[in-house]
Amino acid sequence: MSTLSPDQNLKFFIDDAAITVFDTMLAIDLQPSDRGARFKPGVSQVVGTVGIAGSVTAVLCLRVTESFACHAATGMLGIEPGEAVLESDVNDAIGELANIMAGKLKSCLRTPGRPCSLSLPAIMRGYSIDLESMSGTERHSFTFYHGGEPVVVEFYSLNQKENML
Amino acid sequence: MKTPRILLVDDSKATRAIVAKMLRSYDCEILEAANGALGVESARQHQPDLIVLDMTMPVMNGVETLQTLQADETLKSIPVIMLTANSNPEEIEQMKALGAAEYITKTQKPRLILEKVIALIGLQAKPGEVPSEVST
Repeated sequence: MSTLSPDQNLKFFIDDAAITVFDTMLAIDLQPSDRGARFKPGVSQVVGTVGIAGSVTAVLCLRVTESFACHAATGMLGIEPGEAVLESDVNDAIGELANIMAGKLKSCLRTPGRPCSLSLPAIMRGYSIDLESMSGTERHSFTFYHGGEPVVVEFYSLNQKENML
Repeated sequence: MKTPRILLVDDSKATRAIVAKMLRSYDCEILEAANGALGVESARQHQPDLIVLDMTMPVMNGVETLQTLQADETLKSIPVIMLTANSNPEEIEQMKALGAAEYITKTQKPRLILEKVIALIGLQAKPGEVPSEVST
């Protein structure tokens, strides 16, 4: 039986998913932080979202600055320094990182024997994106840093804490 | 000796690029397709020696693609490695029951993925190239 609370379990799983995915896909060392996300005003953000449906019902959002997103796309696609990075490539990279993280989380949080699926990723871009949870939904936010750049994973789940035990 | 052909089927260009980069020190021809339908078309046209197939894709997902490949007499003998973000034991069993030769999660280290590819089709390093300790 788990000795951790559902929130502690979720933090453990999201820390593990984010750190593993960024290490494997980008050889980037993410550091978890308790100081919250500090996106500078006027800095464009890219948010990748993936839905999880089934024995876990949730949405995972990966939020980074546009410059960090370009850096990620450059690394994943092997684009040479100075070469142009297409917006579609940036979307693809952030969507894929969110997708792999959601897949890893799904494996950790699901109920064995019950189906659970991922949606295709979607991307939002903007300068001030506020995501709000709806009634019956819990919002959890986890901040990481790499080289001074914030990487935020937000997790919106139906209020079913037993899924996280 | 014929150069092995590997078909990468994944809607993510980034993931295709990472897998292709991992294989570039090896003597093989890489083909790419952005969804299952295009993957089946490419497989029929090029008869690859190995298919690396993503699970979650638009148009035709990995399960549908695997079923289509298995139902085609000219394609069913091509080994398929399922590449996915998930790692549920039930899904692994389902993929193997459908005929997948291997199952790899995208969070596995590239070295492990490469080992499975080599085990299935026996890739050789390109002459004069030392395969790096694969990293992305």
